[in-house]
Amino acid sequence: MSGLRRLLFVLLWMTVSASAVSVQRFPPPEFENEYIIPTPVTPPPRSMTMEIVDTAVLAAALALGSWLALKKRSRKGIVLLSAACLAYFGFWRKGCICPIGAIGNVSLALFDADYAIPWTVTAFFFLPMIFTLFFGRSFCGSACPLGAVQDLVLLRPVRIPEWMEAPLRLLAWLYLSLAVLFAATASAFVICRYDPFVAFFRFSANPALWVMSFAMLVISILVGRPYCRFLCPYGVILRQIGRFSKFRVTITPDECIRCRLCENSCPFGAIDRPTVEWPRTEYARGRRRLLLFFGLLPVLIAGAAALGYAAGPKLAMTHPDVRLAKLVALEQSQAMKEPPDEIKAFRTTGQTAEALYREADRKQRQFAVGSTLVGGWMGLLAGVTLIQNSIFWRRSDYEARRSGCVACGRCFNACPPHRQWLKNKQDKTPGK
Amino acid sequence: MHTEQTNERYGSAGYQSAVGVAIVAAVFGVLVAILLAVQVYHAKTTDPARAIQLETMKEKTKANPADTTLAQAILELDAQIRRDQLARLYFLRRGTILLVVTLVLCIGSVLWAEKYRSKQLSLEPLGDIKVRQIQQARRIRTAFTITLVMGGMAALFWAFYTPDSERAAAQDVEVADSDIESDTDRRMSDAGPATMDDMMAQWPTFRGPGGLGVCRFENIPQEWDAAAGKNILWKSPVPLGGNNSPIVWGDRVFLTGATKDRQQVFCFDAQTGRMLWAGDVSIPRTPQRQELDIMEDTGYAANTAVTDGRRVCAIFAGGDVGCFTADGKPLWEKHLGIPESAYGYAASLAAFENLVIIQWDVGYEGDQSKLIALDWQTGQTAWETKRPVPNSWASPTVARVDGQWRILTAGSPFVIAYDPKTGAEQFRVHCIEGDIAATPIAVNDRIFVIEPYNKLVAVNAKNAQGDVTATHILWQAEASMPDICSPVSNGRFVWTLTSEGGLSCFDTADGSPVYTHDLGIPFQASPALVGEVLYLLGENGTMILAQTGTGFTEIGRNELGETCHASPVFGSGRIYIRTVEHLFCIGLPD
Amino acid sequence: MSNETPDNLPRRLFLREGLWAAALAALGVAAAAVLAKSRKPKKVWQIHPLKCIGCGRCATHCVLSDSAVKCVHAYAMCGYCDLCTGYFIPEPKDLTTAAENQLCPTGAIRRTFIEDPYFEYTIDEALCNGCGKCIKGCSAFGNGSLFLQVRHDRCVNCNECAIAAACPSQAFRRVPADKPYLLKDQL
Repeated sequence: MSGLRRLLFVLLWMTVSASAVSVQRFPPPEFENEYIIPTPVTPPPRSMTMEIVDTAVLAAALALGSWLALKKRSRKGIVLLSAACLAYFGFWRKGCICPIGAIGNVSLALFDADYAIPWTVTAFFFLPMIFTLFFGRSFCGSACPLGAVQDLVLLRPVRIPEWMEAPLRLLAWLYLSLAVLFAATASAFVICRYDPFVAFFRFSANPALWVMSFAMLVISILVGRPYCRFLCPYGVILRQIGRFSKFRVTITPDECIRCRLCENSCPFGAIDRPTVEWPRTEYARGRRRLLLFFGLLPVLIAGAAALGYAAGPKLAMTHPDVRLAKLVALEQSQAMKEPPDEIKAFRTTGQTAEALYREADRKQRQFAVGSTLVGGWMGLLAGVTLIQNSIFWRRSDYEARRSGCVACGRCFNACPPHRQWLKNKQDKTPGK
Repeated sequence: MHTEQTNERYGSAGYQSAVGVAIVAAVFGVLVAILLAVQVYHAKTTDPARAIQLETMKEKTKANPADTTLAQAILELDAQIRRDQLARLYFLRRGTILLVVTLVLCIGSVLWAEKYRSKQLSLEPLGDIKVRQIQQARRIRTAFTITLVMGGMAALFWAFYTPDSERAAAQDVEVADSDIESDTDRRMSDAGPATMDDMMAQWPTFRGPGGLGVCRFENIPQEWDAAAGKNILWKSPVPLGGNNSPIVWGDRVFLTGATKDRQQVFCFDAQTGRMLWAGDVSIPRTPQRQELDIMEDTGYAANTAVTDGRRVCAIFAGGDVGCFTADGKPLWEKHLGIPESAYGYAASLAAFENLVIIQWDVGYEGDQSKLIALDWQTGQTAWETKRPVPNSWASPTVARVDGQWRILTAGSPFVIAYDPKTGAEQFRVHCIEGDIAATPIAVNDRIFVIEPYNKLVAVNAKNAQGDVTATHILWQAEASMPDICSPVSNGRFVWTLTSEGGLSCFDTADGSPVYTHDLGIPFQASPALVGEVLYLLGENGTMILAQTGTGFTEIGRNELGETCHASPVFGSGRIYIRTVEHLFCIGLPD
Repeated sequence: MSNETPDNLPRRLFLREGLWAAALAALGVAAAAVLAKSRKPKKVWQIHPLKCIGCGRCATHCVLSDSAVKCVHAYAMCGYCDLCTGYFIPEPKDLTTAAENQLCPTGAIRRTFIEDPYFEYTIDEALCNGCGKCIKGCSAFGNGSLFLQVRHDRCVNCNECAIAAACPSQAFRRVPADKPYLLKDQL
């Protein structure tokens, strides 16, 4: 090898006439003819004004979506708007800059003092939240490109039984918690990495992502918005904010006549039926059960926290420094024939292995704390879900659940009072 | 709107065409998807295979360049690969767009067909709402509990499961990652630093224990001849050249070599001369490092390495430090930056207990130099002390002077002693000027240091504290002095050797010249003392042996026949000499 | 469980309003906290050419099937060598543009004669796949004037660059959008 290098070197020196003592190996030649040394072209990135346009489009879509769902009550309008948003945020903007992925940026910004979050990302993160607090989740129904894909391909909705929904929903919580953990520790933006439809938006992805995207698409044909309901980490945030929303999508513009016609119109299981009082015996049992679950809550939290702590070291492997430290330690403990690129690159930095270990150790400590918190948090959520389902909730009408409703407007047309309302409105409109 | 649709609409042309379009689009979409998958699979399998095929063909054509058919085949295969790659890229791009379009078409037509279907109101019987809602809540709780238990177990399994392949490595790493403190302790206990006594019993640094050039080993041969193979135990080629001297610990001989583009540490088996391992120290890819141009006389590996038996540490002209275990496993690297040095950075390393000592005398103003101590195991800086000297080429030595271990350094215009534990300066003497290259030696609490061309200075190190220029200089002998070679002393006399071959002997008591003798050959290697015999290795490979005493008495002359720049090195019954090309081991056969 | 009577209906409403206001306030505070950190300008991904080791992952890990990373030539640093080690394979048969002598797997480097003995090397970005073979060759024996850069006409500026996540030398970084390139001759 060294022989070859030397040969090459000699060859190089022979073929190139280097005149003076070189600063570089071979000084740039002084040309005798007219040749002008070109400069490399540097195409600029997308301009900042376009980001402002993005934000404006989002705000407009949110406002229009809310108006369509709450005031205009037009399913057709909502479909058109979401298709337009799919075209803009999805296919035109290639799925990048979206509030879902912004979770990562915001978490990192909150935990890492050095990370400067672009203001557009901040706007994208908070705008839908603020709108949700006022008008419900019209972002999910109208503006979100991922929601639009799932909504548009939903052909044969299969009703997911409620007993399956609650556990599945916990997945989204887990995804959110882990995503925040990974982002806050500057390890990875997992939400962006596993975006379910970005492969379509960009017309390119690695095979694994293609498979995932197609699987999600096929599931979406049968299951209403599987990503939104069971995985989307932003959806789970909006779900909670939606609980407090000032205004809400109502199935009926008038009084509910309890005709049951809307019962099956929602493919997302977001319509609550009216309830009746429990029998007295059930109350007594319910109270005992509730007591049990309240007692169980600390146990659940502690257990899940312990589990989280145990998973800490594995989760920490997402951070590049921890991975590198492990690799370096592995390399030191057993001779590797050919050290991987990571090790070679690490050696050129001049950083000591010990300093790297220290850094990795710091990260691992962060993960130990973070994953314990995530564990405890998940335990708390599990306990709360159990308690939630042991309480009698009074409802007299068919209602769109504030948390679950994505304001898609599917239930409107199933509601006879809505149709009547529509007719009245058309009659009132002059010229019709 | 849809409720009035009846089954009759199923037969309508609109419905049928919508379903037809949906089916055609679906079939087409599936076809495109399969083709895309095949393409990706194809790329994953055949591309590497063809690349290898191309490589082997290229290798072959090197062997017989006249083979035109082979050259033609290479051209065709190469062009084919490139054509395929471009075609595939084009296909993938168009294919995915096509796929999405068909998908949209398919879904759109299904939705259209849906319009013709009657919406049937299939409401489940309401039943007893009371019972149902209670049942439902119970089902949710049950399902949820089961999921929790199963999910918890799965998570538990995942958290604690380690694949077999990782398990072996995990132990080591876990300690490394989780607890640095104990990790360091653990490593120290099983590979702790050598004691200074251990160090003194080996030849671990430039010029051996204390940098004195004095051999305490026995049975050192006095006669050999490379041409006849007499007393040459072995002779091994050294892959990369360098002016540094070997160092020896037990059965291992270490030395380094470097060119502008590569720097390596080599380990040879002292018994057989076989090279046990070679370890690369990486070269930073900075432009400054790549611009580094060292004068040929110094070379990129003039600095002798240091070992404590467990590890070996080397530094090169570019300021790149690399440490390996004695078995050749890289431990750490440290890049100190490009040393600003008129003739190229050449100081050798020294060691004290758990520290590697670097005399970083660089720059021309005297504001950049420092003495650096790195942790043997980790490479981390233990301490750093600024030195008020410009670039020098002398090596630091660790010697027991006036009852304690000190680091002795020489750099214009000072001789400075430091506390090796903290790097604190203990005393300094203002006595030498110029480009200092000779390493100071300390014998019987006296330090001998050479000012090039001009004088030999003796400093009394007893009770020295602070600047002792006025009080502790014992004597200064003005004479023709070496510019490279370090002195050697047996306590009574001290000898200096100039590059031209002028051997001078001085009385250590008062510095009075005892004799001067012209050896007639040029020298770069420093003199060594074995018992009462001076070993003087000339540049031409001639080793002149001279008896100590008040006059010059040559007792032998041995030839290696190769150019020698490195100083001779000793082990038990052995002499190791690095010539420009080889490493020689001289000893009496058993 | 529920003991709701028309009496406590206003109380519930009041509670609801209170919660809503609290949620709005919380959201406002969070938004303000994040906005306080959002002043710095937009960032885009770029490769630090001195950190890059030319491992080849740029060619395979970009979310775009045709990587957004391409080779860039800092002509000012180039030696215009006849035997360009970024262009030719080690020990080429002869110094011609024949395919078997070329290092570039896609033939994306064009070699043009300027004057004796100088040759200009230009990159055809449409062909370059960002594999970095030429970068390795050029920096090992030449001036290192070839280097990889994220081309912003192609890059979709992912929130988390997939190549950055896979980069062994952590050479990817976010740079201000108004200075989106780290050109080797201008570092």
